[in-house]
Amino acid sequence: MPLFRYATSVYGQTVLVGASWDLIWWFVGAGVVFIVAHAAAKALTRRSTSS
Amino acid sequence: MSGARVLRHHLADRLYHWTMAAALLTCLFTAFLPILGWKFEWVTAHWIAGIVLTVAVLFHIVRALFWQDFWSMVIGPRDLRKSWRLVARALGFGGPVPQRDAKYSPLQKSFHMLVAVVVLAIVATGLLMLSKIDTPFWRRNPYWLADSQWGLIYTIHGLFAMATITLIMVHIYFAVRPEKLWMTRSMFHGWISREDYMRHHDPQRWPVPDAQPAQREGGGTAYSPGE
Repeated sequence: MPLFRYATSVYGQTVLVGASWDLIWWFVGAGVVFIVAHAAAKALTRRSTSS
Repeated sequence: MSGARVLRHHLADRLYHWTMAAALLTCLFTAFLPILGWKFEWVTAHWIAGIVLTVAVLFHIVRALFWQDFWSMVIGPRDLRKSWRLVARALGFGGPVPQRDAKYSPLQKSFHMLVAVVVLAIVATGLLMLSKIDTPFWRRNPYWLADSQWGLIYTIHGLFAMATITLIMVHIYFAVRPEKLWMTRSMFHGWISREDYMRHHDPQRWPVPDAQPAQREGGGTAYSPGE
């Protein structure tokens, strides 16, 4: 998966034009993973302390 | 419940928070919806929201420097000690009970630091990018910087903008967690109950008028194990 977007300049050179928009879903995924992991950890902690 | 209240967020700070939220969400929606396939004329709304975000951030910086307790949001040795004790106890090593927080917890300070870096980078690069569009106030000058420099600016702007998606998801997740609702409500009406203040905060580190420190069994100040 590309991390960056490139274009060809009028001089024929490859130039960086920005970050790859495919990364959006990785950032969304990171948020989902954090939330699920934290919620699971809190639920497990609560269960172990109440039992 | 006694009904006594402790002011946590002044009206100016709540207005700043919700203005920043509205501006940042507008920037995100106008940036990413067209990329995801929803085509509309997004540039005008995007740069106007960016200007609003910039003004809000400047307002917050000035207010934090001159009207608020700037150091209340800076991580200090006691925050590091508390974090270490929390980790040690979570891993089963035992050790002393972590102290209660001042106004903000170490994790809140860390999150604020992260958001500050990300948003300041977005604002700084966004202001530079304004020179590439025509507005009623200025004409575009796309040749101000070299292509490679623009590429770097666009990359930073894009990467940090995508990172705000993760940060906002985590922020909202914590805001709606049941054990955090007492804090979330204060961003709407400004105050927390005195019971929550005594339960979660150390009055010596965040003194408010008429607050009395809660005593834990065996002496010392109490710590809330729910944190």
